[in-house]
Amino acid sequence: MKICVTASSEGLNAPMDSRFARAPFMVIVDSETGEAETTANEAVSAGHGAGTQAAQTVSRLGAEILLTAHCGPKAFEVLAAAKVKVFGIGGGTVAEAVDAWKAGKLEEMENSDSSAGWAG
Amino acid sequence: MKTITVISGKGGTGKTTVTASLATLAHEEGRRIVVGDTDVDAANLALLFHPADVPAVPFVGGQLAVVDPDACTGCGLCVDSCRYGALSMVDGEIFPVVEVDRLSCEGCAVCTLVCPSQAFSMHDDVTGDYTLSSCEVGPLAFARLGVGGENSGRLVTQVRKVAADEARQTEAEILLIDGPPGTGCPVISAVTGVDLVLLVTEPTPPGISDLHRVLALTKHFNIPAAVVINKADLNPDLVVSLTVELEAQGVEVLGTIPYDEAVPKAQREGVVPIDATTEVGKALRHIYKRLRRVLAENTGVTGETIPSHHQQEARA
Amino acid sequence: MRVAVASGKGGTGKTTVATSLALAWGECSFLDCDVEGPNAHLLLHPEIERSAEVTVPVPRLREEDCTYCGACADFCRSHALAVVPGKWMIFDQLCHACGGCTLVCPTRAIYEVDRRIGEVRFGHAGAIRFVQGELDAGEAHPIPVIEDVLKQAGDQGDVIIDSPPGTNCSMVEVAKEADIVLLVTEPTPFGLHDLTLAVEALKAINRPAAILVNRADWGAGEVHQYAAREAIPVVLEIPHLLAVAKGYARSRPLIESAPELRQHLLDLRAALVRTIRERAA
Repeated sequence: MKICVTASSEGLNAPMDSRFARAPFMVIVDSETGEAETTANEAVSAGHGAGTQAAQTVSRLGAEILLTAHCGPKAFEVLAAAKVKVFGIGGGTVAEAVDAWKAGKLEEMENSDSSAGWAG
Repeated sequence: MKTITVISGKGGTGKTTVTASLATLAHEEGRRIVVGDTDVDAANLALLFHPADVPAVPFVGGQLAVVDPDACTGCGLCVDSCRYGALSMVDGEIFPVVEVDRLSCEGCAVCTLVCPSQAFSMHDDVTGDYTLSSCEVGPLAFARLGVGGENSGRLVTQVRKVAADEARQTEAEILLIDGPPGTGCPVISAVTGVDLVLLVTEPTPPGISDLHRVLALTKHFNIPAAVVINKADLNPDLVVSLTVELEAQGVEVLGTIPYDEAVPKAQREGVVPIDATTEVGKALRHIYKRLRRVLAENTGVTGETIPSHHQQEARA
Repeated sequence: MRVAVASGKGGTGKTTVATSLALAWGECSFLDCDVEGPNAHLLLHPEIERSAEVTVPVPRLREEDCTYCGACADFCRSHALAVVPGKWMIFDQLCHACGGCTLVCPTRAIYEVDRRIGEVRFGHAGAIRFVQGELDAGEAHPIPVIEDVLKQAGDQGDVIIDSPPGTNCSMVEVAKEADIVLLVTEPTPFGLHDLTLAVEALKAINRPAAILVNRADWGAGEVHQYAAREAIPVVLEIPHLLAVAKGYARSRPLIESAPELRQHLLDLRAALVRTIRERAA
C-alpha cells in the first residue's frame, strides 16, 4: 500500500515536516517495494483551506496511510472521508517514519490534534 | 520557544505599545526574541523599533481577473455573473467592453467560466509585501497590505512563517507577535497554534464588548489567554468587575496600566514607556514578570533562570 | 449628504465623533458598518425595532447526480470543496459564495442554499434612524454584511456611516458609498502613519476627504503639514479632554461630556458640504 509522509525536501532521506497542510513536499512510499515518489504540496501557498487541498492531494495520490505530526480539523475530516488513516510522528527522516509505522510504534490519530489555521 | 500573540479586538487599546514594551523588557533581560508585526493593515511596530533598511518581498495574495480587450465582444454575459460587482461595461473603441474593478475582484474566476469568447484570464495579484529585518531587540518581521487589500489573513500567515523560521534559526526563546485588530480572519490567522494570547483591553463598554468577542475566539480555538487592562483610570469600577468576571472564567489578568500622557509622549519620542520611575513603566514591568510566570506554568517549562546551587548558597 | 467616518488607526475616536455628529445634527440616518465589532449603540442607546438576517449562498449537492469527478473542488479558489471517492464535502466558512461550482459541475449536481453569516438591526435613537450590522462570531467575510447595511442608506437627509477601522477592503467598500470621508486622526506617530495609509486608500477610489484631529493639543503641526501637502482640509480640532475619555468609559457620548463642542460639530457639516463642492469644481 502507499504511505504518504510530509517532508521538507525530496526523497526517502528527506527530513519530515510536522505540519500537514503546509509541508512543502509529500513523499509517497510503496510499503512493499520501498520505492518513493515525491510530489510538491501545492497547498503550501493556499490561504485558508490549505488543509482541504492537501488532504485531497493525499487521496488522489492513492495513499491509504498518512504520517505527519499536526493535522488541522478540516484536513482531518477530508482524510477521514477518504478513508486515509493518520498516524502521528514528528521527527526524523521519511524512511525512519515509515519504519516506525511498519514496526507498529505509531499511534493512530483519532481526531485532529491542532486547531484550525496555521501553526508554526 | 514560546509564541505569544497580542491582540485587542478593539483598536487603540494599546496593543502595539504593550507588545513593544514586553519585547524590550525581554531583550533587556537577555532573552533571545523575535518580533512579528501581523497588523499588516497598519504596521506600526517599525515606528518604535527602527528596523534596518531591507528590501521588501512582494507578496501574491490572490489572483485577479484580466480581460483581453481584443477578445471581448461586449456581450456582457459576465457582468451579472460576478457576485462582487467587479465587472462593468465601459466604452470601447467600437463597442462597449468589459472593465475589471481591481479593488472589487475577489479572484473567484467565475468570469473565466462564463465568457463565451475566453476573454478572461487569471493573473497573480501582488497584494502587499513583507520584510524580515532586525532592530534593537532582535529580528523583526513585518508586512504591508496594499491599498484596499483583502484576504490579509494570508499575509498575516506569511509574516508568522517568516518570523517563526527566523526564531527557529536563531534559537529564540520567545516569539512575540503584534496581532491585528478586530475578530475576523486576520486575527484567526494570528492566534491559531500559539502558546498564549495576550488580550489588551480598556475599561470601557466598547473595549469590553470587543474583548468578549476575541475571548470567544480564543476559547473556540482552545488557546490559553491572559488579559492586560490598559487605561485603567478611565473607569476603576469596570476594572474591578471585569477582573472578577475574567478570573471566574479562568482568564488571568496580568495587570493594569494607568491612563497617562506619558504613553503618547514616549511614542512621539520613538521609545517604549517602560521607564521604571513612572507608574506606566512600573505597571509594564510587573506585567512582564507575571507573563513569564504564566508561560512557565502553561507549558511546564520554566521561563526563569534557576540560580545555580552556588549562587543560592551565596545568597543565603 | 453621505459622510463616512473612518480612520486608518483604531482608537482615534471614529465612533465617538460619528455618534456625536449624529446627535448634534439631529434628524439623520446612522449606519454602523463596523460589523466585526459594532459599538455605536453603546453611545447612541437606540431602541432596536427589528432585525434581518444577512445570508450568503453556499453550495449543496444532489447526491444522485454526482459522479465525484472533483471538477468543483478543482475549480474552487477558496478550497472550500473537497471531493474524495464517494464523498463530497463543503466547508461553508471557507466558501466565498461565488457560485462557480454550480457552473462548473458537468452534471448540474450542485445547487445553492442561503446560509446566515450575520444580522442587520434597525431602530431609532431619538430623531436618528439607526442601522447596525454585525458579523456572526467565527465568520470571516464581512463585506456581505456591510453591503446589506449600506443598502439602508436611502435618499433622504444626511447619512453618517461609521466605517470599519483600517484601510482594507471593508473600509474601501464603505467609502465608495460616501460623498465624503471624514478621517479621524490623532497627532501621534501611529496616528499620522495610519492616516497616510487611509488617504492612499481613498485616492484609489477618488473620494474627497476631510480630516478631524482628535487630541489635537498633543501637537497637530505634522498633521497640518501633511494635510496641506495632500490638499485635504482639516475641518476640526478637538482637544484631549479627560472628561470625554471618562464619559466614553461610561457610555456617555462626547457631546454630553463636552457640550461646548456642539456648535463645532454643527459647523462641521457646512465645512464638509463646502469641501465636496470644491472638489467637484
